[in-house]
Amino acid sequence: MLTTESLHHYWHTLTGPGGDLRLFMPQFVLCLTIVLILLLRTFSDHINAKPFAFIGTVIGLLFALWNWMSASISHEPVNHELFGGMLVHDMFSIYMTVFLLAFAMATVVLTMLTGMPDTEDSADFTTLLLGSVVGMTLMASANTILMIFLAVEMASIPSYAMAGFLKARRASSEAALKFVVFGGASAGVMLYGLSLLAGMYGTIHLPTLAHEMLYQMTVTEEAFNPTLLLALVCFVVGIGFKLSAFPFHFWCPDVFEGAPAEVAGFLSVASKAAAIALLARFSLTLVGTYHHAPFEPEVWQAAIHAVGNYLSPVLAVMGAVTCTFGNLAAFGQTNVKRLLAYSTIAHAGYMMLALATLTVVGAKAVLFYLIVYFFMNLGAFAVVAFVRNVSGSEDLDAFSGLIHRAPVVTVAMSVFLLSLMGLPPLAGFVGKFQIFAVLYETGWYSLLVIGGLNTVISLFYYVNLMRVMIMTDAPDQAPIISLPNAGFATILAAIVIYLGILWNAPEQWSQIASTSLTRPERAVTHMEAPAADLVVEASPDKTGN
Amino acid sequence: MGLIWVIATLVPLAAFVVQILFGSVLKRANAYIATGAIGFSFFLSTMGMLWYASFKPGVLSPPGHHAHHEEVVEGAGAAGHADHSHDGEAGEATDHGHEDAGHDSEADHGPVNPVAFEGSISWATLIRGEDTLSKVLRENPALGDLIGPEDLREEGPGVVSVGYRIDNITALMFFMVTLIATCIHVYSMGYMDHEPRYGRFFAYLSLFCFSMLALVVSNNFFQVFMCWELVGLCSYFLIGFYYEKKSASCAANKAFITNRIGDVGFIVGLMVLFSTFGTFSFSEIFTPEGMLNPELAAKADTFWLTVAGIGIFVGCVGKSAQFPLHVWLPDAMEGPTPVSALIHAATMVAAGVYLIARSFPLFTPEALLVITYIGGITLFVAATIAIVATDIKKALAYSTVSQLGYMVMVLGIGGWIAGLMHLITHAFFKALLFLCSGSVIHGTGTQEMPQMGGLYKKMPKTALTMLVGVLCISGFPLTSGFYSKDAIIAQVLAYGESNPEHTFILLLPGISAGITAFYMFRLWFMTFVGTPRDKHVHDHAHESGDLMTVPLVILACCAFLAAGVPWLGLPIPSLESFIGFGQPAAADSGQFAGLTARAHELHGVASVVASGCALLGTVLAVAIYWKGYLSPSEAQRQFPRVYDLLINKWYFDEIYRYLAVRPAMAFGRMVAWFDKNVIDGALDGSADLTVRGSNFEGRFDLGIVDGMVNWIGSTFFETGVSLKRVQTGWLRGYVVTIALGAVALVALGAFLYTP
Repeated sequence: MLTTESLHHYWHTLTGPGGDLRLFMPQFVLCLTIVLILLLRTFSDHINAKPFAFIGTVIGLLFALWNWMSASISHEPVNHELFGGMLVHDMFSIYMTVFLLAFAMATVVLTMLTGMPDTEDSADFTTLLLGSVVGMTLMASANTILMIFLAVEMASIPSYAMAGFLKARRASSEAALKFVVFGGASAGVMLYGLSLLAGMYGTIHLPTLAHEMLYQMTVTEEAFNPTLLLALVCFVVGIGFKLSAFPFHFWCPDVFEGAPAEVAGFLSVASKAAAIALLARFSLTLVGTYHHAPFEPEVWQAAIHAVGNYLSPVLAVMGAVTCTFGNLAAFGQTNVKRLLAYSTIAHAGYMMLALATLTVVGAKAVLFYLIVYFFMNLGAFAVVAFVRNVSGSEDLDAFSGLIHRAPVVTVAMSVFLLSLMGLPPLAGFVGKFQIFAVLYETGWYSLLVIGGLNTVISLFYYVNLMRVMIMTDAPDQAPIISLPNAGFATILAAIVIYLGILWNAPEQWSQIASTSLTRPERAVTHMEAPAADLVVEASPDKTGN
Repeated sequence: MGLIWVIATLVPLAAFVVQILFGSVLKRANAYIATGAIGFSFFLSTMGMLWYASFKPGVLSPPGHHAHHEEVVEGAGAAGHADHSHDGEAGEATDHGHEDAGHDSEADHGPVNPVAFEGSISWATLIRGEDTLSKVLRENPALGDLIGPEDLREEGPGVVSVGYRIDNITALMFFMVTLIATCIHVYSMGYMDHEPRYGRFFAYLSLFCFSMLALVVSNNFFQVFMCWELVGLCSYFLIGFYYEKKSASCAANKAFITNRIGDVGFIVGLMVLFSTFGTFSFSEIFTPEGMLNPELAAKADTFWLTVAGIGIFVGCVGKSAQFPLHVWLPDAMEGPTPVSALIHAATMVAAGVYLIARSFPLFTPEALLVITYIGGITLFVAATIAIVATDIKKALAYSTVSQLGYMVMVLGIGGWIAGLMHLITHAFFKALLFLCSGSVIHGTGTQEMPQMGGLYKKMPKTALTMLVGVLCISGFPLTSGFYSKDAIIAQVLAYGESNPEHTFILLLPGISAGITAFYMFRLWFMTFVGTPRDKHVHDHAHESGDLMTVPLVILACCAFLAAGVPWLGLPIPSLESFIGFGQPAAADSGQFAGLTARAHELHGVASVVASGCALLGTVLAVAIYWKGYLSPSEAQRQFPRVYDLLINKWYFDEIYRYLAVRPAMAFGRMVAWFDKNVIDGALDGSADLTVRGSNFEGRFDLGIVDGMVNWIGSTFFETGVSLKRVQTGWLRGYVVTIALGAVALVALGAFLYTP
């Protein structure tokens, strides 16, 4: 029975200090922006939506930063569940929200600079972009497996449309269709896995699910549970699609080739970041539930270990194969976007290697890598977009002799490529170093060797692109890349260099964010509440038990 | 307060950035920017220095008393209570800059360095301290597996920071560097006037000033090392400034390579240090009193401590041109003369000595003995070579090497005050001497002393100021050199009393004091008095402009007065007591216990010895080169072997050529051959293989995977689907891939599962 008082109370829990809606403001602002743009669209077809999108992302970003600040200074570890347990608000989710919103903002700026898409389509494009970003932030803060699925779909569906945004290009439409079918199929597989999990453990609440899993594993003392393996692998397939990990990567080169470079850059960073964040949260929650352990720590730890044994080898092999495959396949590419597509496949592989250790330091390395990857990959795709704008082509030939036409952009591109390769003193080196250090420290020497060899292999095709840019003669026509564009590339390159030298601050942020993955006290445990009740009735206790 | 020095350090860097970015626009204005920047730094450091000098004068008790530290404590307390107007400053004194990295230098720990500002920003974390992760782990030990490896959680400091640490030695060095650098900047505006790369020269100078100042203010070894490399780089640029000259570029390479050899030792030392102590920070390695931190010392064993100490000293050997790596410094005279004065006489080469002084408590007795012997050999060998040098700058260069040897040696026998004092006084008079020689070269166009002579009339200002320098370096009473050399000899005497087994090495400073006076007066007489030996040179000789002579006069005053201020009755602490104030306890305890006090007692004897030796050398020089009673060529004929040895610089270059350069070249040729024939082959092969592999993979991807997909698509769905068969078949094939991939992964997971 709804009374005015209860409504008022409910409203207060949403909007009061520390209320769910307040913490959800970053995403909320994006939603408002989308609605605003759609409304404006009804008035005029020729409205340029990009400034609105920019302002929206900036405001959202400010809210997210505010969340980060207030969470950093709070004495209690920030660990709230929002909207009845659907989402979680902790340092990790704030970190990813800031990251994704910042990237959305950068992408909007990039589209403003490149003029792609034109004013007419800008409303559609920004709506899709922002919608996708909302989905991605939800992926990073999903707390139930239902939310995981919804968020993945919410992030994916707008990106299908964005991939096919160049309606006139056949390749674009084909790639988009391929993307849709591939995405749909993998979503189906993932849904199957998630439903298996829910069925087995009777809950969709992730921390509770993890707790149940460990509990049952300890009680039954079963040696090997094929259903659990199937469920986990199905989930990994869904993530693998988002990450374009081998063998679920087929869509990636085609889509990157067909889609505009801006979209490709967006998909390569934001989409993968959200996916890897989701994977990190999911896997570390499964092996990180320790609170209210009803058994001796040794027994509990053995169970945690067993769960890790399901996930860890799969991730390790997948990561190793993915980065090796990506790097080898990048060799013969003549289209720069295709080349970069394989390069992003390889980078996703590196990140999976770090996650395969199933440790917080691994997650930390990945979170740091994401920051680095943000700047160098966005930079590389931005340069591709700039060159496409002036030469109309995205082939390797369009880059020949670029140094004579656009020296600044060429130097910036070289910085991005060298950073992607992992050369000191650039940011890419620090990122790779952290991942490799984790592999070394955790004793995954085989993965370390594979990662190291891959770095060497990757050198060839990155350097080849640099060779084409710098050491070949320029074709006759000499269009010049405009100053703001060159400035954008320069700023990104400067950040890449800066992060290669002064990386302590982002490293600390990523450490803070990853540490919050070790705090799943939110699990409603076996003794306190019957597992079946967890799903529907949202726990009113938001501050953790 | 520490901010003053930070700003003073960064100003030259800003100047450098502006000059290098806008050099093409600014051109000659670079000189004004560079000079203005260093002048501003000088102004700031003067402010800081005045503040230091005025800081509770009562506290600046003379060194030498064994109860030195206690007195300081009382003095500080008394001053703090008696004079409330100082309270504000005392409060500031505990201000540690931005962060909490500093140690409390006031009453809590006993204020040996009464005022040490420290601040830093952390740059990189190498070992995790107690952080969030460790806290989580402490609360929940069961999380061991999840959080990660043990090593990452090891407790302890491991933060490499960029920061500053200002105590009175830093303030003094800073003041000295900025003062000399300012003079030399002004001088260079005259000296380099006709150079085509005028602007670039000043950009390099600014970069050098920044690096040197950042080195001086460093609060940790790592920053010292970075700045160490930066000053080395600037030195390389500036030695090779006339890169059209082959000798200049060769000299630059020689300096660079020789310094790298020293740096290898330095790096080894730093690595040993870090792996033993887990920190680079001065304030963590050393206690405020200037001893090795007992907590850390307990962790280290003597052998590794000795290795670390000698490693760091090897770095100093390279930078301060000590035997056997001294060969680069004379060649470095290929650079412009202001550079020789600034970098290769006053500041950079003294950085090695400064580092020895800074890390003094670190050195074990064994390491200190090595330091003593290296210094002793250097000071004698270099002094002897200087006797026969005919190039005016090379003679000064060998003199520099010799004087640096004095400092190193006396530091090795615990003469911390004497070493640093000589560092400061030497910086002034050697900068002066070099600038004078530059003025001579500028006026005559030659560096060869046999072509000079009788220039006194032509360039009186240069001659007189240079005479001041000569008097200083020879150690004539009342000059600054007298005080510092006297302190050195006194320390040597005191040490010799308690360690007679090292008498041989202890004789060298005395002998060399005589040699020093001899070759310096020889230089002055050959240049300025007697009959002109080259009429052409003499006719064209002229005095330099004001831009060059004014700095000479300023430096001459400084050089003369640097150590003797109390004689003027000014209420400023003498150089000796000012430095003594910062003396680390390690220099007055252990094997050196009571040595400072003993040295103080021996000052009288020492001054007689030092002046006597100097007088002897001077008389000899007067007899040979002024009055002509003895003929130098006669001496050459009588001692041909000695002369050959000296004129060939003890054959160091030849020895190195046979021992190091030629084998290295031969090895290089061998490696080149190997590279060309073996590695390239292998690399080509592997590159080929990689390309083939990726081609294969491409074919695999396109042919087999896609083919299989197609095949599966067509076989599985042929019957069911007849419409739009090609396209939908293709797409569904992808879906099948997903299914197959999932199955493969499940199989893999099951296969790899280990319970």
